[in-house]
Amino acid sequence: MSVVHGGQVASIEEHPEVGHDVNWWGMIFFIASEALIFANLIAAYLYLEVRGLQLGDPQFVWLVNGEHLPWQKPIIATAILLFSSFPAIWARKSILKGNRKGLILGLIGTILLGVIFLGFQVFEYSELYSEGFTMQTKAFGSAFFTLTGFHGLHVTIGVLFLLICLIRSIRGDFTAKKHFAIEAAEMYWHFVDIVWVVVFSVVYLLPLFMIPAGH
Amino acid sequence: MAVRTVGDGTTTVVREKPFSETFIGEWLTTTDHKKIGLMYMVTAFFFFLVGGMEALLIRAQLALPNGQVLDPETFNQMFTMHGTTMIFLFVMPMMSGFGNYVVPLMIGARDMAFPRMNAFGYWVLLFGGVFIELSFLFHSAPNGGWFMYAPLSLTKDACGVHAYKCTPGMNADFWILGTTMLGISSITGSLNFVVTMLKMRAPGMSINRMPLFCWMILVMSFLLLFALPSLTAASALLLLDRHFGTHFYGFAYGGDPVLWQHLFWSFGHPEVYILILPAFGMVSEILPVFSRKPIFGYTFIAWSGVAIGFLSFTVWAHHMFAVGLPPIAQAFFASSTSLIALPTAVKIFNWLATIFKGNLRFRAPMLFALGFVGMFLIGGLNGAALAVVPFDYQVTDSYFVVSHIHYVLFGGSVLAIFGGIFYWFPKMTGRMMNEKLAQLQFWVLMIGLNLAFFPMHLLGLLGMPRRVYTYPANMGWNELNLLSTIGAFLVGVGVMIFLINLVHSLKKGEKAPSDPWDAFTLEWDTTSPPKKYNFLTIPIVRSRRPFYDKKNPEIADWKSVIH
Amino acid sequence: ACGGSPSTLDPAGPIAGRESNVFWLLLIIAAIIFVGVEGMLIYSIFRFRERPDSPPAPQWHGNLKVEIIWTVLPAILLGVILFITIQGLFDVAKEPEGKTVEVTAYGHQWWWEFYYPDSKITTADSLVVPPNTWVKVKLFSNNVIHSFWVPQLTGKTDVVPGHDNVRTFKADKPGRYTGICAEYCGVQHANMRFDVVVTDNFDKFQTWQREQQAAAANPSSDLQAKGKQLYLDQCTTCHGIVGVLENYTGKEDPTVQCVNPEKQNGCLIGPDLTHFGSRKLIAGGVLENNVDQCQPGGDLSNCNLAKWLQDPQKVKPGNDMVIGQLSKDDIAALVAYLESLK
Ligand code: HEA
Ligand code: HEA
Ligand code: HEC
Ligand code: CUA
Ligand SMILES: [Cu+2]
Repeated sequence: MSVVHGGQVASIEEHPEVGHDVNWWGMIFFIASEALIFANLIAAYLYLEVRGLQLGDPQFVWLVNGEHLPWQKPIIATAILLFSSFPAIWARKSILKGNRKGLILGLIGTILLGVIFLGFQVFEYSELYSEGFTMQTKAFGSAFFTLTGFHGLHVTIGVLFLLICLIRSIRGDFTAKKHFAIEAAEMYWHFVDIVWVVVFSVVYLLPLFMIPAGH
Repeated sequence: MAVRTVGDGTTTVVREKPFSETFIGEWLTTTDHKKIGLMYMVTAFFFFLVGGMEALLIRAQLALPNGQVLDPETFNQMFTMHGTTMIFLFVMPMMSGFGNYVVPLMIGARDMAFPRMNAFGYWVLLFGGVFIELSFLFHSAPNGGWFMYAPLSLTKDACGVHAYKCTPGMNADFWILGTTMLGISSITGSLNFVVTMLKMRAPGMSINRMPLFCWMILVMSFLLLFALPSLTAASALLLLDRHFGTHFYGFAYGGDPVLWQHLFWSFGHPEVYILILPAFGMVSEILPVFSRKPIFGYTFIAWSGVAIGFLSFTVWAHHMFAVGLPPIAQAFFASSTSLIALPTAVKIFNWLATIFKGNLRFRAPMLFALGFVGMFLIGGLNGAALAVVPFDYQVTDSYFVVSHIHYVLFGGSVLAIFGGIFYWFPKMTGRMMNEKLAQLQFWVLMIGLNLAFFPMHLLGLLGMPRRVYTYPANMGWNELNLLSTIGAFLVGVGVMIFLINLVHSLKKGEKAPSDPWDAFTLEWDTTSPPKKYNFLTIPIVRSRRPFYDKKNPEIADWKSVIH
Repeated sequence: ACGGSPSTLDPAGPIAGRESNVFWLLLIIAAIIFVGVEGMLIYSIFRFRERPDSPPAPQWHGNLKVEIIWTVLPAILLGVILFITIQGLFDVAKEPEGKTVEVTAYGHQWWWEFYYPDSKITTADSLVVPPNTWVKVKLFSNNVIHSFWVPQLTGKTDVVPGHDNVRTFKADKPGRYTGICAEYCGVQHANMRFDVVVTDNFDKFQTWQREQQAAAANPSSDLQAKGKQLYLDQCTTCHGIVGVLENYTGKEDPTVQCVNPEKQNGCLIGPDLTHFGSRKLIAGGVLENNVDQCQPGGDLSNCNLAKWLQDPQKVKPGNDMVIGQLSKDDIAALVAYLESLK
């Protein structure tokens, strides 16, 4: 916080450009708010899971006798999603140097990996549904599909966001100086990534350590 | 281009005005923070009248035992919509309106950080508000109470055995979708406020020198950003339960109705401070100006606002004391709730110190600000009583709580809002409001609100539950209810006086100078109303009272105080 | 407190007594703060009005010392209040000692059913308990949330589906106390009251239990017999009468029987009527059961039960008793029969 007295004032510009610009801050608060929606959904998930354990009735307990969802394929998907952050970083670094080709390639890479992740998810959902595990299967099914589905929705939005950026980069809208959309898309993508790590741990890993009451 | 023939036969070429320059077009397409602020305020005030009419219908029904004014279903829709309207469509947008208009002026900026998003936020609000109220046309207005408890708000399967008595109709859907829209509007608005205040301050206007109103809008914005997601998440799950067969809140398959309560109130409690913090801010602006003194304990008022903000996220379960949480949890939430009274006390004492030894000028804004302090205290004290769990067991969900709500919200937020309107009206319109009518309104409101809301304390203690559309004659509640209804209609008269004053002053009000109150902050250092870009030159700030300094150069604050 | 009110300040038992003591303590503390702060406010308003000869106001910006004082003082007061809170909280939550009577209160939309597991009695609208004995009420709902409240005996405890809440209370004085549903539960939340009848002594309570355990009285007149037949023809889908309705015993523990939608057998939608004539309220207290106006052969125009049977939807709009129009004679017969079920 600047402490300014008398004479010093004159030397200060109207809007001193220190730190990040308004758009960056706007994006940060937007993402923070989104992150909190996830936090609430995760809290709801954990709340219901713990309550199931407390009630003990097999109708309510989510996972009886060490049952758990298959986690092998999701782990591959997770790796893919995490890896997809690198081309995104590369895209922004490229345009910073004015390298449009790198930008386009980076974006394409990120989008492809994102779509592959979504493919994994669709595949997983259809497998689970065919095994009879649906949104209506106890609170567990509800919470599982809602949480992962909400994340899937965000990946989809992220992919669309990146696609728009891709089209605009092909049109040549971005320069080394002016490319906030790319920066925003990258921020959003990292956010989607990081959230997934949390969701994945809660949904797939945590049950491996949960011991149902009375077992 | 159009060719037009003028009276004397000569033809001239006139440029047709583009749509965005016509009167209507200008308002529809504007991104100017002042216009948007005014639109917010006018809209909010319209919804205040709607919510007020709903309240008067409620009071008419309850005036006498076995009232016949409304049928039970309509009554239930009425109090749900009254609460929802007053909170989401009146106070919240009203505060956004003030913030939009005043904050950029106060910090010496030319506009908000994201002007177009600002306009977007307003239109979403208007759309969402109209959407919710239109539900009345289908006789399907939300009817689950303003906190929409599950499982009552669920549809068939999720609800329970005799399920058709929950909410099979669209009522709850209107509420879910409507409040979600309002939430989106508030998120964009608050994001804008935060970034504006972080990045757009005039040179020398450190955070530490921002007027307290800006501080409180800043805290409010953070609360919105961090609290609304809970509501969004909770509503989304409710919608899924209602239409996609999930089991979050229905107990039969492992869902839990109490989950809704936790999620809702972790939004709902911060929400009530969202409604009051800007009011604290307004009062902190008005009291010093009309006392001709600086605010006492600026730092303490500012940081106690921040403390309230933090604490407000830790107290939500005080709305759930009767739910059957473990006593330890109740003790925790009782403690955090009591703690929140401290920063509020700090504010009240600093306000008292501000007027102490001042030269008090009892113009309308000052009357309302003083009225605020007096009335909010009552609401705050009975709030502090509600936090005492064994007592709350008796009065929760009774009229005692209704009384608390209205002392803090009407005696608090609404009085401050009127004060704010009287204070900034000259700046916003270039005209003064009629002082006599304003003072008359003040006294009518003060009498009316105490008559309307004080008896509710007693009703609660005498065992009257809230949200009842009728009561038998033999409960000893008759006289107090009648009194309360009379008070409510008196409040209505007060609001009418305001409307008359408003219309009259807009047309015939005395022209306002740029600084009618001899005020301290930057918004008064420009024309009334300010030009499109607010200031000819961006002011330079050296203290917390930049305009005072300019008017009193020899005794300027920056010469004597360092902050 | 006003006469007749279910006033929280007119307690008739230790729990409500504890709660009202807390209120009086709080009132004293609040009154002191109120007088102090409002007094200061009003003093300043009168004392510091701007006058032509007012000296310029002192330009004070703050003072750390006074800030500390007025933070610490209320903090101490809050400490006191917190102490009262937590002590009272645990007092009220204490497990009762000695003999207890157990009851399950089942919140319906919109009436209360009471089940006594020891004596296997089912009643509605009326919770009968002995004096000076702890009553342990298990709170059960399979529909929406209700709240159990008897202002003169105990504060509220919510009746939440899936949560086994329990409220204990004790009544010191015999009498009749109003119970109220205090959580908004739908259209007729306003008419979901019940009676708490505290018997004169424990023996009377036991006598009452024995009476309730008996099957329904047999009709003692032709009119009553006709009423019984009408009941069998038209009312059995929703109401049970022990000894009249086949296979119906009334002895079903709702917490076991009525938890899930699939298991709703045994959970009739309407109140048990086996001893309807002994109760003082009709349908969640929307009407008093004024037996004296319902004498057979008399004019039934003031008989509330007749009003109810004439048009339950007009008396309590939206309630679950949806029946065809009954003729005057049928109503007279039903009234005669139901009121005879003491
Ligand atoms: C503007 C909105 C607003 C504000 C500011 C407050 C402020 C407070 N509220 Fe209120 N509250 C509501 C709006 C608000 N409330 C609403 C809308 C509901 C009902 C929701 C519903 O059910 O529909 C509610 C309900 C509510 C409940 C739940 C009641 C129930 O349902 O059973 C509780 C319980 O603790 C509570 C407590 C408090 C407290 C402790 C404060 C404190 O912040 C008050 C602090 C202020 C003071 C205490 C006065 C000044 C202090 C001093 C002069 C110092 C000395 C004081 C002491 C030592 C005590 N509130
Ligand atoms: C900011 C919030 C706010 C405000 C200002 C008010 C204002 C008022 N409220 Fe409200 N109230 C709530 C927030 C608010 N309320 C909430 C949150 C609830 C809980 C809801 C729930 O349980 O879900 C509630 C509940 C509530 C109840 C309890 C309902 C119940 O439990 O059954 C009652 C009962 O009397 C009531 C009364 C009033 C009255 C008389 C006013 C008056 O002050 C209103 C004054 C305004 C007017 C009288 C308008 C004047 C208009 C005109 C004169 C008409 C002119 C018209 C044209 C020109 C078109 N309110
Ligand atoms: C569709 C179901 C249904 C049918 C059929 C029905 N009732 Fe009811 N009845 C109810 C319900 C539900 C209530 C409780 C209403 C409330 O309080 O909200 C009730 C309440 C009552 C009450 C008040 C009981 C009390 O303890 O408060 C009486 C008496 C009564 N019914 C008599 C009858 C008679 C006699 C008939 C047949 C002619 C009948 N009912 C048919 C559902 C039914
Ligand atoms: Cu049951 Cu209100
Ligand atoms: Cu609260």
